[in-house]
Amino acid sequence: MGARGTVAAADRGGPQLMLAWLESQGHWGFIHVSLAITLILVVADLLPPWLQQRKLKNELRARARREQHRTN
Amino acid sequence: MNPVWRWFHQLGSPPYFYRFATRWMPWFGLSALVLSVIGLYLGMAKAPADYLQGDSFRIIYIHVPAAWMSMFIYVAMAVNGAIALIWRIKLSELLFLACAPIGAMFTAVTLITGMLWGKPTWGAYWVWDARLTSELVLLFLYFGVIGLASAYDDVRQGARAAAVLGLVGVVNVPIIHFSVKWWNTLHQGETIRIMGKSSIDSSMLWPLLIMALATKLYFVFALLLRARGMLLEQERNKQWVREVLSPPQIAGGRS
Amino acid sequence: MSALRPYHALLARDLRLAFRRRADLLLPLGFAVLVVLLFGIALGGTPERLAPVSAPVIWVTVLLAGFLSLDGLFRPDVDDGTLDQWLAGPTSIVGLMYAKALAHWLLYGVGLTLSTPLLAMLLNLPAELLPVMLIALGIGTLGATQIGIVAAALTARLRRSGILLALIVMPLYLPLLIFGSGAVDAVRLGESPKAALLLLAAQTVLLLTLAPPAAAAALRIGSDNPP
Repeated sequence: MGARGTVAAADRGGPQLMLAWLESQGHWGFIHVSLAITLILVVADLLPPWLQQRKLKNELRARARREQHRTN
Repeated sequence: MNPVWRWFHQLGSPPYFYRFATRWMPWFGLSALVLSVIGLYLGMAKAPADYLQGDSFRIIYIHVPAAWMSMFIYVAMAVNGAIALIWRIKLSELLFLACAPIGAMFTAVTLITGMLWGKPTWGAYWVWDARLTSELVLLFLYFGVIGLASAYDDVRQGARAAAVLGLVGVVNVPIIHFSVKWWNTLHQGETIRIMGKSSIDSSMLWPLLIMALATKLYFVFALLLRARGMLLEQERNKQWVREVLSPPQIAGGRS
Repeated sequence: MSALRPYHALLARDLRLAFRRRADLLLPLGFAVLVVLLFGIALGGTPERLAPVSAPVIWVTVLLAGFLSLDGLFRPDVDDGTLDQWLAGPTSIVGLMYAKALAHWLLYGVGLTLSTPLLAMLLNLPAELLPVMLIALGIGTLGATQIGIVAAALTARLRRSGILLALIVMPLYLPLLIFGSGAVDAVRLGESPKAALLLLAAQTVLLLTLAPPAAAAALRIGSDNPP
């Protein structure tokens, strides 16, 4: 591949460079990326409901505190 | 059968489900985490490299359990949807809705890890083999359910409409699988087999089974988390929510 | 015979309405020709490039064109309250679904299938593939209509959202597409299309059994007597 390969890679820009780097890392590169992406997707699955509940609970607690102050 | 039915009935009561979910979530989450660490360690470090594929096959320890879950969750989702439609149980509607994003996540993981496995193994990121193609269709089936449910302003109507779609989908999933496999063998022959004809050594099998269990535990954890959140949102103005979130202060500081 | 009267009436009404707006009838056909035009131009217009992809292009075109007519399937009935009247009335909703599906298939399924020779000519479809193409499209569009009424029923009360309809419908179209184009492929390779056609027919029969009840249940969501 040599010089011609790297020139062509640079021409194709960002994503191709990333892929080319990934492919040069051998099998373990793909394994690590798989683990990383899986972790990201799991966090993406868990984060929204967790944040939504936290926000809702704070909101409701604040509202309950306000009502208590009013009745006191 | 009776105590089981009674427990299901209890579970349908919102405060009971809230307490149940809050109590059991940490256990499911923790055990899922521990088992995943064990399973991945065994799979990544301890299992011997495949004589044909080298180290890249280790991705199956994520890819295959994720694929199993993607299909299992769709069926579980459809069952919850059926219960919601037939018996109008609100909890089933929430469980149904909660299943969809989790299933979609597992499907996405299956697809991406499948692609990252395919490149070092067969030289291409995407191959139109039966499994990957079926998983792609499954992803769209999940998106359809999620999209339809969220298109309705009324959450309960949206859940019921999506449940009908889920049932139509679950009947079609085996047909889609069969048709894709039929199509694949016609056009590409059985040249690509994800698991391979080689019998699986037991040291390779254990991490797989551990990961399969870990993903199921994770599913219950994520399901309880999402369902609890939706329940809280729906019941936000009820008295039991007030009591659970800010326990009433009794004079003297006892609470 | 009078028991079938309400279904005949619905069928007749839908067909009459469709013919009154004759321009709308030709819409799917026009769309199909447009798509074929795009493919023809993109592929350079030469028979060598068109003929190999002619059958798949016709399949995709027919499925897309049939799908176009789905959004307006139940919306007018929802909007003017006819739907709620049906739901409150004594006639079986499932029966009405069969009538609706039949009307849709006659107008769009059969119509598009009959227009296939035109599309085939534009795309240089090999002549020996035309008979199996017509049979497969006839059966396939019947199945596709069933999928369509369920999807249309599920989205009938929603604001117009075409992409959601596509998202729902396309994965379910897949087996029909696979078996249908598989049948054409078999003839192309000199084999018998019987297996593929039988699978296509089986899928369509299954849809004919399951889809109208599903559509009926879907229509009741959001009404006063939910399923």
